[in-house]
Amino acid sequence: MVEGLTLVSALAAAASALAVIMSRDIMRAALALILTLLALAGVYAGLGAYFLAAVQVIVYAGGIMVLFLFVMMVLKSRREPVFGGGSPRLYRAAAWLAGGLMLVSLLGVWEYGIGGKYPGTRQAGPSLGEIAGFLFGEYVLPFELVGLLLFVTLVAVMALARRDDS
Amino acid sequence: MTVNALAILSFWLFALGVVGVLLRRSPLAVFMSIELMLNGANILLVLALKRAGFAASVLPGMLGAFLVIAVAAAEVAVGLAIMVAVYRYSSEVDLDSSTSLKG
Repeated sequence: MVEGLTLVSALAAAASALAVIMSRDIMRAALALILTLLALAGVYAGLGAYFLAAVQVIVYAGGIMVLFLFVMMVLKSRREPVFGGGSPRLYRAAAWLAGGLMLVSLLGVWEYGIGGKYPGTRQAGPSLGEIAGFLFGEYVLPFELVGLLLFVTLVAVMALARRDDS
Repeated sequence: MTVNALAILSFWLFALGVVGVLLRRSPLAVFMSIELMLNGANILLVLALKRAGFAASVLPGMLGAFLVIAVAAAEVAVGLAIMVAVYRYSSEVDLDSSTSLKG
């Protein structure tokens, strides 16, 4: 049951990711991306990583996509040719690169597999307390570094977006 | 079987992201493609660290994905601010036509 739901979310993510790349209207691409991110949150939940699913919904589908939509409203040009203007060489290179990447990874999965059975949600989910202990114990340095990065980002964005009147 | 399907989903997202970065012309669409690639990597991170015997705990994988999400948020914020600044300067946002770096 849960496994089936996970597969359905995975299919939804794959289809809407295609829509992100193919849609002509940038707003539609953004909406498809939101759908992809939500479906991926479903996949994470199906794997038992509930905390990650919540973070995905809040940070990605909530925060990042709001930023995208906001900038989309600031910028004017919304329509664009889907794959406009590039040289045929570029198309061929992109096709070979993506196709080769897919082929190599499919062969790898075919040959070795990532591993056995569906892990299910039961044995998986670490509790919030465990996660917090991990974040503020063993992994406190990366955690604080991320905090520093976000702070620097805040300052940088304010400096970049400020109108230079003087 | 599900695990392999999810691995294939991860590669699929990454390959689509590569195609988008190479072929789309609007920087917003390129950013979305980058998000697709990051998400593809995240799936594989969670998946690999959930595999029994691969790691002592599933927590490092989750926290790796967590850090990726945080860094992606920072990257998008800075990138979009740069885009707004470029738009204010030249009032067009096209990756192929904005070729001047000098202010």
